[in-house]
Amino acid sequence: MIDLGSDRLGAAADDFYEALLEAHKGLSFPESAALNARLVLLLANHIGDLAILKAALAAASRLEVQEEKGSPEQKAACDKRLHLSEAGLHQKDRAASRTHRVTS
Amino acid sequence: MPRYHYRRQAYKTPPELSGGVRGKQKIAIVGAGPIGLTLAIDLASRGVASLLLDENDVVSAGSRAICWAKRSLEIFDRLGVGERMVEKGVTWKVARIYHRDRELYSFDLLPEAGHKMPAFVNLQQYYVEEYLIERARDFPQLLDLRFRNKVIGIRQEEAGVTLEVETPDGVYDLMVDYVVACDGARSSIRSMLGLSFQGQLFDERFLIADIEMQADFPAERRFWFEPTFHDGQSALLHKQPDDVYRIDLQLGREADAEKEKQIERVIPRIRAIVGDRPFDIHTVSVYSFQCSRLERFVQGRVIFAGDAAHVVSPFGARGGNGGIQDAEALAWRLAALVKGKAGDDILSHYDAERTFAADEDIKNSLRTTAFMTPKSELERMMRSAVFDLSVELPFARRLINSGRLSTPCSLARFYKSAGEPKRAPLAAGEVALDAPLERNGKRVWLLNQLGKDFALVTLGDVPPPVPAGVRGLQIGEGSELQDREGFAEARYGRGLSYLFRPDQRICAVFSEPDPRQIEAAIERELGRRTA
Repeated sequence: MIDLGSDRLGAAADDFYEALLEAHKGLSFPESAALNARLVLLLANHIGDLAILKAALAAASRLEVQEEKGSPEQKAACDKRLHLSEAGLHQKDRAASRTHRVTS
Repeated sequence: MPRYHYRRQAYKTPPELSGGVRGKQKIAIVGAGPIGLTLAIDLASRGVASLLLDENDVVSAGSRAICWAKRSLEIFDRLGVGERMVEKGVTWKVARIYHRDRELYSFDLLPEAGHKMPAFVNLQQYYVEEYLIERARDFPQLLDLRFRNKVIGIRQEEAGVTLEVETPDGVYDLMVDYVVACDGARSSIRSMLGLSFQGQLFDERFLIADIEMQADFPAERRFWFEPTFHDGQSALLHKQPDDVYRIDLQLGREADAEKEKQIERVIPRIRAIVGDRPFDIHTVSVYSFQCSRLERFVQGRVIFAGDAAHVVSPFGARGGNGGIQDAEALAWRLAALVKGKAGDDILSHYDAERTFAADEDIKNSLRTTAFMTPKSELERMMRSAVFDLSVELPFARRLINSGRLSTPCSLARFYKSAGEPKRAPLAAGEVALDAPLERNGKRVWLLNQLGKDFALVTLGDVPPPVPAGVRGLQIGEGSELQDREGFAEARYGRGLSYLFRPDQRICAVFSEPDPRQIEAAIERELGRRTA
C-alpha cells in the first residue's frame, strides 16, 4: 500500500504554498497551466518511482471523476444540505437528524 | 448593549497641576490597554515604578481581542491574574474547518497534558483590561495610573523625553527617562514622531459582530470557507463568556462599509448563522486590515510595543498575543536598565527579538490572507485542489490556512553560538515549557517556580553550584521538587541544567554548569559584554 496521505512537509508546507503562488503571480491561466505541467514532470522525475506516480495519478483522478460524474446528484445533495443549514449551525442536531433518517 | 457594566476609572488631578512638585520620572507608558497594563504590572512586580497614561477612563469598547493564547495566559499567571482569566474565560483547544457545509477536519492545539494553562481562552478585552487594572491597583506606591491624561506632544532629547500631557485640569509637562508607546494601531506617539509604518494594506472587508444568545454551540473555533449560510468567502465563529459569540464574516473587496453596518443588513446575516433563536447584538462593525510594522521598535528613549509597533490581521490571534509577549520581553530589560544593572545595549536585544517575532506574525498573517482571498483563477483552482484532497489525504489539511494560531516564536537564531549539549530536548532561545511537579507533597507548576530573576533549573540528582543572584532549582531525587509524573524529564531531559531569563526564555543549557559560564551568559543578556 502506497501512503500518499502522510504529511511530509511539516512546517515547510506553508513555505511551499507561498512559493507556489509566488511562481504563478502575474501569469495568464494558460501560462500557469504550462508552469504546472512542467512542475509535474519535474516532480515526477524526482520521485522516480512509477508505482508511486500511478498511485498519485489515481488519487488525483478519482477526485476529479467523482466531481464530474456526480455533479447532478451532488448538486441535489448540496441543495438539501443547504436547506438543512437554514436551521442554523446545529451541526450536532443536523448530524443526528441525518442519522435518524438513515436508520428509520 | 453589552451585559458588561462599564465603570469610569477615577480621574485625579495630577500632582504636576496641583502644586506638588515631582522631579523627573523613570518610565512613562502611554496607553492603558492590555499591553501597557501588562508592562506596568510586570515592572511593578520587579519593584520598578512607572506612570501609565491613558486618554480615556473606561476599558475597551467594541469587538476587540478575544483569543488569549497559552503563552499570554502564562504571562498573566506570572503577574497574578492568569487564573482569574482562565476561570472567567471560555477554554478551547479544538479548531474545526469546513468547506461549504462539509467538515474537512479539526485539529487539537494542545494535544498533550501537563500544562497549567490551556491552549486558548476566549475572553473579551474589556474583562482582560478590568482584571489588569485591578491588579495594577495592588501597587499603589509603584504604579501611577492616570486616566484622562492625553499625550499631545513629545520632545526627545539626549538626557530624556518630555511629554506634554492634557487633562481636564489643564496641560502639564512630564519629564521621563523612557517612554513606552502602547497606544495601539493608530499610535499618536508614532505619528507625533513622524515614524513611517510600512507594510501592506488590504481592501478586503469583514463584518465583525458580538452577539448574545442562548445556544449550546461548542467551545471550539469554527471556520468555514465558502459557507452555505453566507455569500462571502469565509465565516468564523467563536464562543465567549456571558453567552456572547463572535461572528466574523468576509464581505469581499467591493462591500460598502457604511451600508453593511446597518442593522437591517446585519440581522439577516446573523439569522442565517444562528437560526430562529433570539439574539442581542452587542457590537457590530466593518473592518479591513493591514500587515505593517515600524522599522525599529526602539527609537532612542521611546520604545514601541503591541499594535503601536506592528499590526496583523485578526486571523491567528497574533495581534494581542504578540503584544503581550512584547511587554514581557521589555519589562525585565527595562527594569534592569533603570536599576543600573544593564548596559544600554539591552534595548537593542528587545528590538532585535521583537521585530523578528513581528516579522513571523506578519509572514503568517500574509499567508492566511492569501489563502482566504484567492486572487486569480489559478489560486482558486489550487485552493480547491487542497480542499478536495484534504478529505482523504491528511497532508493536504496542513495546507489549509484559516489562521496559524499564535505560539511564541523560537529565538534560537539569536543563540547559535551557545554550544549547548546536543542531547538537550530544548535549545537556548526557546520559551520555557510548563510541567507539573511536586513540592512537599503538593502539586505545583514549573513555570510558577521560576521566580522573577534568572533561574538555573537542574534536572538531576546533583545540585550544581549556583552563582549569587541566580535562583537555583533542582528537580530530582532527594531535592525539593519531584517530577512524579515524568513531564519535566520528557520535556527537558535528564542530567542537564537550563538557565532561564527573567521572561522564562532559555538562554543557556549546560551538562556541567560552571558559575563563570552562567555569569557570562547573564552578562550577555544584560548587555554588559565581558572581555
